Amino acid sequence: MPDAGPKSEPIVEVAGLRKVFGEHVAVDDVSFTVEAGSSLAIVGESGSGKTTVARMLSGLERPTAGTIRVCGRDRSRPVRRAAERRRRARELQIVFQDPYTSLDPREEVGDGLLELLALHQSERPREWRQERLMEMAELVGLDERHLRSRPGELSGGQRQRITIARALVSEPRIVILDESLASLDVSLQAQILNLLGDIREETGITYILISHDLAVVLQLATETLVMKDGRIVESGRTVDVLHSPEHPYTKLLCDSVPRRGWKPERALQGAESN
Amino acid sequence: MSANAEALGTVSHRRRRLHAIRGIGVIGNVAAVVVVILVVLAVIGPLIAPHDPNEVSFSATYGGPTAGHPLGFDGTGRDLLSRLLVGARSSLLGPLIVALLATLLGTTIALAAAWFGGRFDAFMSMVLDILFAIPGLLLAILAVAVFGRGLTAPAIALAVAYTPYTARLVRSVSIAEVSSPYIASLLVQGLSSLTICRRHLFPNVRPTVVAQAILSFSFATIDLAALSYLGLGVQPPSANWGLMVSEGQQGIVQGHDAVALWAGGALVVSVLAINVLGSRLMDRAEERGR
Repeated sequence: MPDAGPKSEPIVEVAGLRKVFGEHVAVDDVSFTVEAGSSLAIVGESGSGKTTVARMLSGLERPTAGTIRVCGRDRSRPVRRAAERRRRARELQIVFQDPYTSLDPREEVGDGLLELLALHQSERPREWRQERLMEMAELVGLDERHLRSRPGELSGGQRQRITIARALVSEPRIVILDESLASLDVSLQAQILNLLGDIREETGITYILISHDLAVVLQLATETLVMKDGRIVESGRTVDVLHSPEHPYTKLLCDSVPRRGWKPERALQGAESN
Repeated sequence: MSANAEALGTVSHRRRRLHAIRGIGVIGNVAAVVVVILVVLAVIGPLIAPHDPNEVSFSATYGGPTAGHPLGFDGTGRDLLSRLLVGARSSLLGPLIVALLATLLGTTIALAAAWFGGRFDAFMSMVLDILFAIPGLLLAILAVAVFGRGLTAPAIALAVAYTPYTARLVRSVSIAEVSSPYIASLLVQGLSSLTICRRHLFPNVRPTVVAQAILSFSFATIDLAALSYLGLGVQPPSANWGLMVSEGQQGIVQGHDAVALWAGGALVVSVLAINVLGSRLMDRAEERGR
């Protein structure tokens, strides 16, 4: 895939990605690119392999085959070297689905953030990091009292805001949101969506959104990929994919969203004809 | 909503402070006091002993309490209280060494096995299975046969024998922790494995480690006393509670049960106090952590 100029250079390039767990093929021949500053949504039902793609991108799973390039550098294989791992951390971060298990339960959340600030901003003085911590808390709408709490003393929404702040500590160029909004109630979801939009405007960050919530996808993602049984069945601009779906599976997905004039029978008919 | 959250925040902070003062109940506090007394005795016991523990008065064999000897005399005519006080050190130091060593070894193995997984884990599990097959007391007797009697050889042997118990338990708890998303997040953050294990994984399995260490201490107290009783541990004329039970045995037959009772009682109280304190501390840690 040769590219003309540095402007259209994709920030994420995935080619022929495959992951096999024992006998089960979780991800099969997945290829896509993401341009810097845009947002890609990967949608699909549970078990479609979208989370496995996210885990391979973040280096938590090793691909069986295929290549992953992020910020122009290969990361298809895990590395042990500390410096290289820190560099990868500054390129891409991930926010997981469940805010209840994503934070160390025995640590005050502020201490957890400070530890990572010390890791990624080691050349800055302590006072700067302390100040930055307060800035980040403010950014996600939390205060000093929240920072002095353990995760068990915070609500799900507060915890998820902490995990988002944590993902931003290393000032990464890409953040994967792996169903990160699914566990929040609708009003909180809207708040966080606005927050994510603001952060993108401010920093030009790239989002990869793993979701099955098409409303969220429509609001945040410019491009959309539809996965089924480990393969990409449809991809393109989000508006096109969601408004005029081509693949029967995407149609079913879109028809399953309740909206004005929505008839459950239609969705069911779609399922039968699929 | 934020006012609510603030109110909630203060309440839980206050509760945490209360836990720190009295989260372990009356019995737990009693046990804590007993443990503190035992530790103090182990340190200063020989200093406050009213008599030389090896000073023999032949006329006082199995003698009852007198003014200068509140607990009376043992079968050789030595002051019983002095022997109990002096014996505290060797009776409690041995189990402490065993518990510390077994915990250190077992926890290190467990964390490494859980962290690296795969073949390393399988190999370590195999090694532990082999160790499991060897009874601790037997290994300790073997160590005595090779390295001689005393405290050190049996203590190290028992520590090795207890290691698989600690390792197996801590490994199973650690494996559950390693697979949780907070560890994955820290990996993606680029934190080193050692840092994650030391600062995040270990603190989260610490209650289990502490509980198991206390259990090891109790078992070691009994096993080391048994070795002394068999004549393989601390040697006469040293004062040691296990040894005193053994020596007191002859007295029981002759109707003088004071020596065995006092020494045995000291052992029972020690094991009980440490167990109660340990389990209360565990409960408290569990409540505070999650």
